[in-house]
Amino acid sequence: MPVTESVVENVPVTESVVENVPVTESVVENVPVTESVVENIAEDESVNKTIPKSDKIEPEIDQAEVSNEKPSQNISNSPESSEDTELISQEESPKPSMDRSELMKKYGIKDIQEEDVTNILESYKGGSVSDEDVEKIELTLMNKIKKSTLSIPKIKGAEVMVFLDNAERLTGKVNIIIESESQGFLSRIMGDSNKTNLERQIIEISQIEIRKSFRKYPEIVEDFNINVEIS
Amino acid sequence: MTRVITVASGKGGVGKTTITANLGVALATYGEETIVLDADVAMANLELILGMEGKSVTLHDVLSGAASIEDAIYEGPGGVKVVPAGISLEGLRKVKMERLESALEILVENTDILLIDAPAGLEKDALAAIAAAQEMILVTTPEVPSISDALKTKIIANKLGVEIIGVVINREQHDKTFLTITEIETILEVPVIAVIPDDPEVSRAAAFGEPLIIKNPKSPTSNAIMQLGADLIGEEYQPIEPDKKGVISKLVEGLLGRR
Repeated sequence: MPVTESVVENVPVTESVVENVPVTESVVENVPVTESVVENIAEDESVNKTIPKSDKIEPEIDQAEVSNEKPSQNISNSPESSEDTELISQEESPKPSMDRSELMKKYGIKDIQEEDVTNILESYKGGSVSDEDVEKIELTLMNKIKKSTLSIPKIKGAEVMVFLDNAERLTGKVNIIIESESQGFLSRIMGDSNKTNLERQIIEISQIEIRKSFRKYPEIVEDFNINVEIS
Repeated sequence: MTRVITVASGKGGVGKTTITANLGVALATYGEETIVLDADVAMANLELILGMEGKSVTLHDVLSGAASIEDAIYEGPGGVKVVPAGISLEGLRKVKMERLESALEILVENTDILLIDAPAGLEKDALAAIAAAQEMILVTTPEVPSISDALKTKIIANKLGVEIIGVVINREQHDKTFLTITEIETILEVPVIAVIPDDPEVSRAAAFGEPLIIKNPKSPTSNAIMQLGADLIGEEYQPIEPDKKGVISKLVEGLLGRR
């Protein structure tokens, strides 16, 4: 007996009726999908064999098409592996719908915490800073370098300027103007070598302070240009 | 527009490099202009799998600022272009992963697909390889540690705005101690796009320095990777039938002079 729409609407559908009536497309369209129907569909082997297709690969395919088509991504396309895939499906088919949290618990797998994600991403950025923090860093570096520089006995006064560029990566320029103690006669004769030594000493001290400020990313010191002027 | 796809795994030793190398060759055989870049600068293996070791200019040189990326591109098997990482550990300290981004900008100019073989783990070099791509393929074996690491990688990739195309399950064995496809999909919340069986042919091909899909195109692994490549670009793939004749029948045919 051909099943028409009116028949489906008026006759209460029992299990035996469903089993005996060949289901046509039009019938499927008109029958409201109940939970039991969904369960039966889920247990259907042909559905389980279909490996879901990423939207990225063929975004134009809708869900209905995917479930009806011969799965292109299915290994069952391979003659050698058809047996393999059937085995995989057999393994899966008796499984009820899976709860992710239960599965995670079963296998001891944990989702990564938000804090850990932030830490990992920070390490990727190599300790880079947001624009709002740049001024604070400049000020901190200025004070640290100035303090360290003034600890050198021969230095009377120091002015330190730090300019950071936070474009593609954090780079910087440090200008240090030093007022040294008045030099004695002997020192004046020695002149240049003392000055060079002092310059080198100040540059080293500044580099140490930069490294200390970026402990997780000490190589950043290579991206700083340090100039020293001694008067 | 060039598609930049990173192949990542989280855990090392799951077959990521093998899949990247063979997928690159597969895409090239479909006529796609494909470049495979080995971003695993610390543990480079791609060139060994493709039989391309000992190249004079590598990604090492590019990332240490000693060479331009154009000089590090080589013609590989099947027409795929390859940027080897360089096996030598010399100069590894000079490598700056920040240079990867600008190198990739040049690479994508004349190519259809750029495949990046990401290092294992979630260190700076791995993250640079993931962040450089728009899309990602996750490779995992059906074992718990591998899936756990793949999950971490997926979460980080999502944070970096990278779209996950799907999961490739490598070395699938019909063993109940391993996770099923459905379980893996449920845990990772990503569709499985290919299942590659455990295949001793893979190791053999690597020993010969030849991509498996060229050395043994009839193997299940080759068919699975060719199918994956076809799916990525919306092509049809007809699997190559394996030779089902037994040794004795071949011997008899040989004796009778039949082909």
